[in-house]
Amino acid sequence: MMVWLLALAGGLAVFLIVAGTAGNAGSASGSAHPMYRPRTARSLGKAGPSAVSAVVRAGAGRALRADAVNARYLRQLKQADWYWAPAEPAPLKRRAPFWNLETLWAEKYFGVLLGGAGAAGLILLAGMIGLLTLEFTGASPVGLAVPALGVGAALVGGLGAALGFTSPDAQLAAAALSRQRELSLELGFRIGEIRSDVLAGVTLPTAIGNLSRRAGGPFIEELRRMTTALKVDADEVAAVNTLLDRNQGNEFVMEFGNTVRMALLHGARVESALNALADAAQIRLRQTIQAQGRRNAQEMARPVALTTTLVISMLVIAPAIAGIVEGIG
Amino acid sequence: MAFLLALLAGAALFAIWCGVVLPRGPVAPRPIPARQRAERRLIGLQARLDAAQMEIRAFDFVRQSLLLGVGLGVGLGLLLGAIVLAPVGILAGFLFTWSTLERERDQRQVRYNKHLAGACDVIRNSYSVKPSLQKALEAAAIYTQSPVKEDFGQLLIGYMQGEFESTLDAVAERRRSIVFDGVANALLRAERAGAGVTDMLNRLALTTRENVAAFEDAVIAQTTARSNVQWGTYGPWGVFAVFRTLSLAFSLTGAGGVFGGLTTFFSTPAGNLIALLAALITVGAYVYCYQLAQRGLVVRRVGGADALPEPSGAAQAGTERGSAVTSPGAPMRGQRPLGPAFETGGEA
Repeated sequence: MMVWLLALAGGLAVFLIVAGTAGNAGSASGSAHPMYRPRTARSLGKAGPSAVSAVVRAGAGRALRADAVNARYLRQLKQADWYWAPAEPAPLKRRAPFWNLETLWAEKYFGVLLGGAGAAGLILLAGMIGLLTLEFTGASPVGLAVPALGVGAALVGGLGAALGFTSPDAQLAAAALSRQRELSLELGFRIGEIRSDVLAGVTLPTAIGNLSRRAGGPFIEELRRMTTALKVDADEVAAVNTLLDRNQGNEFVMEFGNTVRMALLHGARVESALNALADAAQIRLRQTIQAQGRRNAQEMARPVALTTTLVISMLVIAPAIAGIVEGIG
Repeated sequence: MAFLLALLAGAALFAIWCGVVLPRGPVAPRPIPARQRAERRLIGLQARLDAAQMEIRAFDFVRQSLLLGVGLGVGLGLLLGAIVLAPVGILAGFLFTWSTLERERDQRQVRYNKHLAGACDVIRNSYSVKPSLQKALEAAAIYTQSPVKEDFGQLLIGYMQGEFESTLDAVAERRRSIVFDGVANALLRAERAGAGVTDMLNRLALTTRENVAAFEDAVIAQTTARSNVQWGTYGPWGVFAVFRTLSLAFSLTGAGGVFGGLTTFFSTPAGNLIALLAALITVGAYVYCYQLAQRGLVVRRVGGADALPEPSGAAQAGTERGSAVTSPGAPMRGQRPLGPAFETGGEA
């Protein structure tokens, strides 16, 4: 009887996983609000009138409550260039798994659902197969096997849910950090180009506009966004503020943005300020590169040491232990 | 028998890899040579190689990797007696070939950038003697070293034909160098300004030198880190190779009983499993650390696909530039025409 109950629980868990991942695959994307439009197969943007859409609504509700946490998420979404809202002039990034607070929280709750139910379901399934095998071979399972299986499934399910809840945070933080690093690096290289333009007699906004039209990396992307905003509402200071708002905490961008804002507000000649900024950026660029190189080497030391130890243990110690065991036997 | 199985497993792994990674080429209307057929099937791989600025044909890449991989697989299989290592050896062959090509690319880029800094000095000196951009470009095309010499030759032709901006864009897209981008922008500005850009060109020469030094620092940091990864991951296998050779040698002498278990362990199923796990851990660590080595030291280049829509006021300029960017220009002598991946992004 208990075995059949376990089988039922396992089956339900599997159904939950399948329903969570594929249940809404056929929902009409054309009618969805652009904020929730489909992005990937896993994304909750596919939410239709189902359990998953309830998760989205829960995510939206949650998004309105946790202000401090949401402020950090919003900042990171912008830093990673994943942020998108209906008023944004730029289209959604194809790579972004979520693009605003609602979709982020929905992804987190979906992670809880998927991770928790998946892990617990797997444990229950494995336990069920084990118990059924015991049943068919005629051996009687230990009395505490079923409660232990339930506790194990709950614990592993909890762990899976916690992992599912926190993994979007880690993903977002890594993307934000990575993009800001790239941006700082590129800014160090590119600032000389703006200076060249200004020295050739071009105004600063035009120089920024010229640079934004060229191929480049994240810094050029930011300049393009700035130029687009400028074309829309013709407010240069607001455009710079957008740049600063999207890259909060990036020292290089702050310095660049403040210099540009100063020049725009006071109408001053910017050659000398740009010269100083470009010279400082060049020095800092090399310092940043050297520091990053050292940091990478330092962070690589752990996996390399771990791999070396593991591989040597497996190749040298494992056969030795096998030999000893064989000798004793 | 074991080696036959190992080879079959390796071939199966390669076939799966080809099936997953490489798209099918167009259907050939009539029988074509085997090499051309193979090259058509490797279009996807060629695009990846081009995007990573590797100067090699996909067919040659596969051939080199397989040669190295089969050697490694057979060597590992012979040394350990574990047949599962043969496909891992083939996989390692591809990784090692890619690493070698990356190192060559980095060296090539550093060399190119250094020559570019020299070209900027020539331009500055020439302009200070006679303030004419055409003369300065001529001087750069004459007095610099290849391949910068050819690039400035192309720029000079573009300048004389009134297509300076599109030629600059074509060369910039081909080189995909963040240092060249700066030079291109300054030259374009000098062309637009007409005169009075001596100060700007002076600054350009200094800035380019600084940028080249920074770029070289980034490459050196990556090379050092990759070298550490290689020693860290090859090391245990080197130590084990020595140990294994000694134990095999001892097993042939009177002391064979001492190492009896060690010489046969890896030919058992458990030994095969452990050897496979060790190899996969090594490959995983190698790939992970390789990615870590370039963290924060590489700028992703954004092409037209991810770009914001052009502002309406700049529609005309945007259209002109768009066509220039997507046309890579005629290839120089000794250079291959660029693949589509160059237009969509990569590393600077």
